[in-house]
Amino acid sequence: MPLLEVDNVTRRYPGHLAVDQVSFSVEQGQLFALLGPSGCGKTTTLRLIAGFEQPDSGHIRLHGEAITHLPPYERRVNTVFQNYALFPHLTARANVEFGLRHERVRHVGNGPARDAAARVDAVLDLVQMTGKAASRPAQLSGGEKQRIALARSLVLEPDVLLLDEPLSALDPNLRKQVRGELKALQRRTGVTFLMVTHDQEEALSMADCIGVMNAGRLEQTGPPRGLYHRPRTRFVAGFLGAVNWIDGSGVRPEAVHVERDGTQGRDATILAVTFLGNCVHVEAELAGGARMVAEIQNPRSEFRPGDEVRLWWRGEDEMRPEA
Amino acid sequence: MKPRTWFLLPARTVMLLLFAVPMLIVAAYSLLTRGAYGGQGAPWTLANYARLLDPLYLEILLKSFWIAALATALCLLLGFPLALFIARARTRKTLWLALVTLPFWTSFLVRTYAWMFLLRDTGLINTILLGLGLISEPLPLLYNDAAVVLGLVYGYLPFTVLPIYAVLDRIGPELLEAAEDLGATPAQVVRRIVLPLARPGLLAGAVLVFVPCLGAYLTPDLMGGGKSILIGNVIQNQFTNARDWPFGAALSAVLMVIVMGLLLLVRRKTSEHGGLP
Repeated sequence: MPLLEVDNVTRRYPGHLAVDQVSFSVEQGQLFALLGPSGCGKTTTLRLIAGFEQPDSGHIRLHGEAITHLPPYERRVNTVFQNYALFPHLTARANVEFGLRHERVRHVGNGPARDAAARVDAVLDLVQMTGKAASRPAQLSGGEKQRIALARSLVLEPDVLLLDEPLSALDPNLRKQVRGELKALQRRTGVTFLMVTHDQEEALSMADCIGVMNAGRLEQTGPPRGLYHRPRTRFVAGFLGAVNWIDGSGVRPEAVHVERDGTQGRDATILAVTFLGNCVHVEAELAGGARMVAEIQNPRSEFRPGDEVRLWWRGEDEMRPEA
Repeated sequence: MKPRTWFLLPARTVMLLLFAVPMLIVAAYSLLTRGAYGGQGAPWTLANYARLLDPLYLEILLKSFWIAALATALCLLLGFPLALFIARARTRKTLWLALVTLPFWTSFLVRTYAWMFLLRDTGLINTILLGLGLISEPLPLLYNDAAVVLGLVYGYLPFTVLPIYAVLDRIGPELLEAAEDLGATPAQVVRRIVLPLARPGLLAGAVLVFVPCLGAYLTPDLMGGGKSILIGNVIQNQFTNARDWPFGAALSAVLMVIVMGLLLLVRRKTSEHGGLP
């Protein structure tokens, strides 16, 4: 039985369907990422699971039990908000302690009650914020606020931790580092994470399983590699990475080989060469007029605009989405 | 002078001429002796302040504090839920706020008379209740302390709603969701998140009601019917019927000092917690 099941859930807003018959399930211990452009319904889906909104139809189950219409304070899920939503009048430590006082309201199944102070200490240590426990949120940096927001939720040992764009409020140069830290934290605690993101690199690098949403619908669910290489729709293919569309099938730029004197493949003329440091993008026009981009690592020879070349790729690198 | 300082000039001038100077005049009058036929003059004396120790005046002063405190508490009790309702409304916020300030469109005096029309023995409420046979004697709704408190609460309620609304409106909805997410029921969210964050607004609302209530004289005069005398009425009386300006000035000065002391206390309380983030 999956830990969390979202079963045919629909949420209607005046004028449009925010979430349209979405179904997916999350297994115990997984890091599941809901990926999609802004306005695709991924955050609304998260809010439905947290209980801030009610679906117009469909069911949400935790451990097989329907929680669809429970208020947020009776669900064993916790949320890390996009802007962290720390309580400004409380210290970092008091923020972490906040939920412990209400724990009896929930159906606790974690064995004997443990000392609340010790639990707060442990979780502050886990996110390495022991030294900042007495600070108020206004005195914390973005990264520190995020750690406190994580600690505040993790101390309650939720069945599922919901994270709404957890990295978007951080400095771009901090994001990659925090990506790794979040993933490590998830492994260490064993807590199931359900994360919402619009950044495909974030989803690919962190998630065990990705669900791609578009215009309220869940287009495809699967592990990162499967989704990247075998997308079911053109949207999924394009959202996860660059694609050259040619004769109804797609080829990723890094799968396209460029050769000067090759015998196989198609004739093409190079239009532009862009140096990107770790690779080179070669844009070429095929004999038929179609254009393709090839991404070349360590190019053996220097290509120049106007060069006549041949482009080829393996059959197994061709993607054929159904829609 | 810097250009910015110039912007303060009109306000400074007005405050100096219409506030500081009159206050000094009041202070000076309070040290003069009352003339035999009204008026005032030498010698300088502290006798006016000594008279304040008369239990009669202390009692009235205490009662004024009690009535003002009661009115303030009731205003906060009624104003907070209303402000919360308006701040959390998704639509028509402007309409609700306009309705709250609507009473200001008519004179306070007219509105007080309207209340008297409703509450007096032959007023609307008593007439209806008598007509329905629910009571055989008119209820004593007017000319008592309760009527005074009612009039004060009615008159000053908007002054609590507006500052409380201002702070509540700035509390992001995600804070309330976060609290619920962490297991707090709606009532606990109000107690643990909304009320502490609304503190500056509650304090501002309390001051805006308490200070004018403490010096009120129109409402106790009309709705108390002279039976419910507050310190404001005593002061007014000294400047009119009693023609004892020095004693009136001394009363005013003491009231002023008390109010200022309270304001300083509130200010220290607010800054202790840094106000709003």
